[in-house]
Amino acid sequence: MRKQMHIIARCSAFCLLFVLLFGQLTQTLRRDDDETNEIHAFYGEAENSIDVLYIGSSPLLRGVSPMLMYQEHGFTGYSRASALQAPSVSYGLLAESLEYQSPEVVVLVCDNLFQSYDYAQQEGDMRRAMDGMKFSRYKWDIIQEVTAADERQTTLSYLFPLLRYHERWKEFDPAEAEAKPLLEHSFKKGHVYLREISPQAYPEGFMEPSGDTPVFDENALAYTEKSIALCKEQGIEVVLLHLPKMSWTYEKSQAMAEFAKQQGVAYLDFDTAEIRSQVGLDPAVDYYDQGHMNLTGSVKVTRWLGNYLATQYTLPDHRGDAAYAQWEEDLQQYMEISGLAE
Amino acid sequence: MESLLKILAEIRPDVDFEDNKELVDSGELDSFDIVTLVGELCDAYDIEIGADDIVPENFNSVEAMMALVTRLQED
Amino acid sequence: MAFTSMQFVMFLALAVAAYYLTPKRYRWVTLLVVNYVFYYFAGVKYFVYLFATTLSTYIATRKLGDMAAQNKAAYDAAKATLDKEGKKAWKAAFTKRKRRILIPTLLFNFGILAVLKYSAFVSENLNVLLEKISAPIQMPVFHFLLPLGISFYTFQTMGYLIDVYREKVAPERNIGKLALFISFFPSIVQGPIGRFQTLSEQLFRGNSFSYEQAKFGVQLMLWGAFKKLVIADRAGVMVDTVFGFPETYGGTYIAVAALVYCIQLYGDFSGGIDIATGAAQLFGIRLDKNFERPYLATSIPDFWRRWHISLGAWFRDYVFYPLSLSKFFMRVGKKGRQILGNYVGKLLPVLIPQFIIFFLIGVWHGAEWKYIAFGFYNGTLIVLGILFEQPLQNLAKKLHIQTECFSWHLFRILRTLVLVALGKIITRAPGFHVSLSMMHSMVTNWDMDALWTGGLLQLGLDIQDLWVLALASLVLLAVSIMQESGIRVRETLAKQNLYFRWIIYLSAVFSLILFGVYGLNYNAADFIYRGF
Repeated sequence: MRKQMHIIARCSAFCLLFVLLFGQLTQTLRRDDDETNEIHAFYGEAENSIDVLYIGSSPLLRGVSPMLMYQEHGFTGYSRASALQAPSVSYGLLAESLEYQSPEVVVLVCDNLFQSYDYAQQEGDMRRAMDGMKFSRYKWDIIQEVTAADERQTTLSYLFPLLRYHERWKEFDPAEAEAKPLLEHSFKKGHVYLREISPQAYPEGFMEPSGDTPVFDENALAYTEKSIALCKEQGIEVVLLHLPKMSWTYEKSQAMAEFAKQQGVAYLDFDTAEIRSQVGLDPAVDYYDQGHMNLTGSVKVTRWLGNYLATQYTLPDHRGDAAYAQWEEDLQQYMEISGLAE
Repeated sequence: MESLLKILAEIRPDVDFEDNKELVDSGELDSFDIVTLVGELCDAYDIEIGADDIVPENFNSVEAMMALVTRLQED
Repeated sequence: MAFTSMQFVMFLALAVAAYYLTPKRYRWVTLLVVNYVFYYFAGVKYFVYLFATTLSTYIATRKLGDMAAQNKAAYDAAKATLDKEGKKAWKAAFTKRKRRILIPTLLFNFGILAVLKYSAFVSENLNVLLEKISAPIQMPVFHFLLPLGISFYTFQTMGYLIDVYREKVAPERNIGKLALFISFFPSIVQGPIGRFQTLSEQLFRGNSFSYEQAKFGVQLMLWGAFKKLVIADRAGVMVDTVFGFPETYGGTYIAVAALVYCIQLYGDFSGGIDIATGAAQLFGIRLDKNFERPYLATSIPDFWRRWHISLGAWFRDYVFYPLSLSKFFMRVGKKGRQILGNYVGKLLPVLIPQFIIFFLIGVWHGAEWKYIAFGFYNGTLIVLGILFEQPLQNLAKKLHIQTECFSWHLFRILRTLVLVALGKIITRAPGFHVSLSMMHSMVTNWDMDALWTGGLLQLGLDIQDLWVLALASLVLLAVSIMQESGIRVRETLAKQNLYFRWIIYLSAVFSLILFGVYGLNYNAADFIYRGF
């Protein structure tokens, strides 16, 4: 009997050591990606402390700053965005987020309604978001959908990213090597801004009828409807958001507006003449590229959106609240590092 | 016994048949040697050795081979 | 279910748990069920062949067993009244009666294998011939999918049948236990081909759990996975590049590819066998050895005693001995001695059957002309090897070449390796004529400089992968040399300090995780930010 206990103890110790090493290796070899980090840092927010939740793809990632809105209006927000975010991921992120937070408003960036997603081609984009998600039944569902569509990708490689990135040992630089764990707390609240400027110009006939015939992708539509339904179930307000993009068309805008009306939710299109004039974007300096804001552009967009949300919805003002002291600290850090403090 | 040793020495002069008791198991005698040996034995002793008699136990030592020959002669 | 897949690991874990949770008496039943579950994943429709072999063998062996018992009783009673001739006649008659059961059963089972495996080849080539002579008919060509392990379990089962026929083993009376022997899942995929005498007791008695056996089994499986995933699959990249584009990669690249293919094939095959053997060990079952450091062989016959040992042993016991000891070849030997002299004549009953066997082994690999060529190649080498062994030894003595020293030993190893590598070119090339042109190119376009000036990096592996391959192969070589010197690696390892052992185990596992060739290739470009 003693011998058996001894053996079990040894085996357990060995397994423990293995698990620890496995974790260390995972952190050393993973891709250290801002988006992945921000999506993960969401879990670091206190429960039920977020007032507005943003979900969507890279225009959101670059263009909206929840921190600035907190500064101006006092309500909290978090943006779980990633480049080319798949509809299934958006839904999964939303559903999962609602288990940690109970926001008043959910803002969905859904330009991906017009896109067909190819899991095989866009594994990088999938992982950008999913590597930052903890294990949950929502992550499991997304994994099942991906692996069913692309047999080269395996469930295990999503559950244990080391099995996907193990070849990165080739890029291992002993001098720089360190275990980079996923970010636990973010001061950017999901706003991964870009500073570069790429001067743009509005194309001829921008936002005028052009004969474009936009079609919703079935899969995207299903997930977006599901997301909206989930919010309604929980009594959360939904805002569909379109951020500035030079390649946008009048028809697409109309289609989105129709869809929003059908679903009974608000729709904000930053490319419509009305909002455009109010935001005051300068295409020469505010764009990172044709579809994304840079830092200065995001400030303008955030200001307008923040005002909108503050007036349309009853959102709390946590400034001065001792329970939200962490937000004050984060704000300071955000302002310093972004350089917006001046 | 003597005649047997003579036959063996002719086939594999380099092997010590008197002392080695693991001729097959140690790899000293391989399948080719055995086939050649069996041909000689069948001729010399007028017996029939079949494939089912080819087991290491029957050929591991001179004594074992002698026993096999004797048994087949009487069978 | 591939041996290096997670499904297999999970399946194995469940199977082992089920086995040891079953009461000892019925553990063989659990094992049988486990086998069939494993086989189920290969395809339900293939069960019919497995059952056909099981049933036909059961019936035949029971009959043979009964006949043997009856005959023994009758013979013992009549023995005294028979003279030498009478005894011979009795035996001959009985053998004839047994053959009437044996031959049809052999034909039936080998027939299934032959038809499934070779009918398409035969039909296609017959059609080519018929076309050439402008005959108006064409043979139908059926491309059959081979049931999992049919080459292996057929051989293993027929070996058992022949052993019962030879009255070396009593027939198994329980059809379930026979089915267990035939379908044992670790060895059904790629061997080793087992014998009833050594496997039956282990399979049928319930084995007790032994921590040490389980530990060794897992270690062996890890080692096998290492050989397969780190060495073989990595080497395969280089081999595929050269053999995929033989015109582009001529000359020295072919020599490199042939040698690397030797490494790949050994890593893959012996790695798979190690996984099978380790898995069996988890159930307390020892499988026969299938490899004994083949590349340390000093001659071609020696090589075939170290490579795919169970197949060689099967052909030796069930084809070579019956052929070479048959009356026909005995007479051939006698005639040969008269015509060709004592030396060659004596060897004829060995040489001709050996050639036949290696021809068969070549063909066993697959239904293509290149395997027939492979059979001829090996057969010729074996025959020449046997014929010239004595004369070469005498020559060496005359030339005062030392044959007991290390340098001679090394020479023989390298010589054998070259011959083996050439043979592998024949089997790996997409066709026999391609292998011939490759060998031609190898000689005519020999250019060592190309290799040293970065040529090696053009074969699909970058410098880091080449390092990993080289180092891993060195580890393999080191372990092989240890084993060749008689060291039992797992047991020696078990005696070392805990810290040392754990470092080795963890290094092994993490080498597998990091350097194994599995999953999607990591291509940084796929992960670059693309905005939308």
